[in-house]
Amino acid sequence: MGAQTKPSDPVVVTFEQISKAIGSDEAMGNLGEASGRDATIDPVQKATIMAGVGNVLRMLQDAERTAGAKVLTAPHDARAARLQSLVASGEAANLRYAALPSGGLEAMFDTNDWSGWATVVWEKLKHLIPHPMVRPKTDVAASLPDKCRIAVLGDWGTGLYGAPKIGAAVRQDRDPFDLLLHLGDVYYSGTSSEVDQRFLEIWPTRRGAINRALNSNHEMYSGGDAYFGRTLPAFGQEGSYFAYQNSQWTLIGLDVAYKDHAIDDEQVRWLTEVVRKAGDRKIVLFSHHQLYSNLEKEQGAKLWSHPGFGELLLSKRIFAWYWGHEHRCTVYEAPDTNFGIWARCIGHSGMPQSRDLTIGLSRATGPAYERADWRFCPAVTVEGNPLPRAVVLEGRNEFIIGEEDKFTPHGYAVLNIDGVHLEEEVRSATGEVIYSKRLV
Amino acid sequence: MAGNSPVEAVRKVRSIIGPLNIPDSEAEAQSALEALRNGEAPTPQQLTALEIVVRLLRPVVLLRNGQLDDLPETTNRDLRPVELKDAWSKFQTIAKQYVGSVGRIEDARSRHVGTGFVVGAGLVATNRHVLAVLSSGAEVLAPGAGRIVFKQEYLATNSAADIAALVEVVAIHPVKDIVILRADTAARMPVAFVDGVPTAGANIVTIGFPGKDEANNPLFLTSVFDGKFGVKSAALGEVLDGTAASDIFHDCSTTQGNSGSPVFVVSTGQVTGIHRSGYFMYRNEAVSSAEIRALL
Repeated sequence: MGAQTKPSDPVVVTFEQISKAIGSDEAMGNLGEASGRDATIDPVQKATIMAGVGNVLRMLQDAERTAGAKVLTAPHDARAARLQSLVASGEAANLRYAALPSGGLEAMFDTNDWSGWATVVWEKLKHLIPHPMVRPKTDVAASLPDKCRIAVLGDWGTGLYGAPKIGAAVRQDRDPFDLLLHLGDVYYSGTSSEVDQRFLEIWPTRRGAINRALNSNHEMYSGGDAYFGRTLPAFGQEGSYFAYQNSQWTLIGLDVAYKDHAIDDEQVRWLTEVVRKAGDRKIVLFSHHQLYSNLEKEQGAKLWSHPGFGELLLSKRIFAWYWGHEHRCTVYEAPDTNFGIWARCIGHSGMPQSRDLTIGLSRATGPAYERADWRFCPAVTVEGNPLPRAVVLEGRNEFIIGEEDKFTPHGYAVLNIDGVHLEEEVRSATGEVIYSKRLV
Repeated sequence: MAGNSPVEAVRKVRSIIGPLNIPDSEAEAQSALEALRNGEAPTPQQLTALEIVVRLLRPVVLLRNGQLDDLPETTNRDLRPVELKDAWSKFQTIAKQYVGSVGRIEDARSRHVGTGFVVGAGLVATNRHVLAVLSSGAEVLAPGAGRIVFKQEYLATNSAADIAALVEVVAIHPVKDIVILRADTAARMPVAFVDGVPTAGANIVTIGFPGKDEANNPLFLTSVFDGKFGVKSAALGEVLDGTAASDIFHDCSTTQGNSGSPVFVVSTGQVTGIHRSGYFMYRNEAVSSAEIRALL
């Protein structure tokens, strides 16, 4: 009973096991009992929790169906993520592990105390009080050398598939790095044990390099306790947003996850001041969530709708923006019309991403795209913002064993700043450059 | 199990699911549904809108004198296609021969336990967990341990001919939640079974005796059942995605007294399964009639 011996590999929670843990007759009945015993919340709140459980099951089933394989899947839902974390942890249950050919250990759930289990589950389903936001103490950007090199990993916190390969590639890179940046997401919900096993213990530290981690929806699903309480101290990071600059560039990491896919007023005031102090420097933003997407429905409307932040965006003061959240690598071929931003999605560093929306796209042509299977995404207008044509990384993922053909490749980005120049590289999971472009 | 056996747990879970998709015209109801599924509390106005939509799209109608009521009117709301109204009229006619074969199962103290229906001469099908309640888990029926009341309609009186003792256990499914019990079913018509399970979206109806189950249905209970519990009722719904082989998922409005209700296909009046459990706002579950036939 209770927590198990720590498994040797990261744990994958499949729909089959979640269904057994919260969708079985025993689980349902005892959850109902736990609900009935809870006198702290009213019937509407109970109804939302119970309806939410059904939705969790539905979303997890859909996610696995979309994936078409027993791999790590992570719907954008706090309760689903917390339940996945709970099952993976072995808390209040008997857990066995079965090796999955595609990577990781499948958590095989069982319990002989459904009542106790349901009580724990019920508490996980109730609203969490998030960790207080931890902000930087200054709006003065920290220094970076005029010539510097930055590794950008997005949605890397699986501990599985291409993620360890990317870690090794960054660690073994012959050239030094000045900044190693994670765009966020430690699965399933960024609990302490998950942050330890899937992130901190395997993060590719390099001598002389600063480590920085952005907040994300999955880390906030557990309330952000481990992100704020473990990751930030481990990285010596003052707050969940930050700024660095040299003589030509100002690089700003934003926290657009504490308020899900949105930004708070105080952070916008800080950002406005950092941008003011940047003078003529070019501004590059980094965040977990995207400003927009040319493939997915989820857009950053709450970001561009913020009065202050929206005004900054419309001023076209932002030169480039690197984000994750969507588990693809997407490179827009020009700045978008409304905001004038060179936008890039680097969210392909560890999560399995189905090829369903990209496999049918036409192969990108031209010398820049010869080193990998890049596909053209046609120009599209998103909520009144004409987006230019983009290329998206396609092909098979050689690190999801036995399921290679179902998922797009993993990789990361490297930014080389040299005076006024910014050259970006997209690298494969093993470090080969598969795309590069000097933006200026 | 902390005093709560799996059987008892199952008995307590029967649920109102509501429609998976809300018509475009019902924006307030859609907002309420999305809020609930996201674990957020809808506004009272949104909840009211959803309550109306659930009642109208997943209606529960009474049976009177062996006849199914008409579906409730959806005045000023385009919530029900003409085809469904026509199909319901046809079903009212086809089902007339079978509705008298569905009865309320009661324990030795005449307390409502579940639902059963005639599947052959002297044979009644219900859930195994209903038998467990009647027999205190022994799965053997003592004399007087249970009975089936074939009428039990709203505001109607049962005659002696409407009531039959459950006298013995004929068969227990080794895996699925089904038992066959013996009772004097007189001349009541056994239901007609259909092979295979319907596809997702097919219209189906459960006929049974919903009980008042606020614990598992914290919302919508009173409006959906109009405060009429324990009496013979029919609930219209649809087969849900995920249905396969012997498991049928559906969204007919059911509560704990519906255990063992036959699940009719609206278009044919044949029985496709036996209702067994459910989960509020997610899905109800039935076992395919093929599993019943295997016991006969």
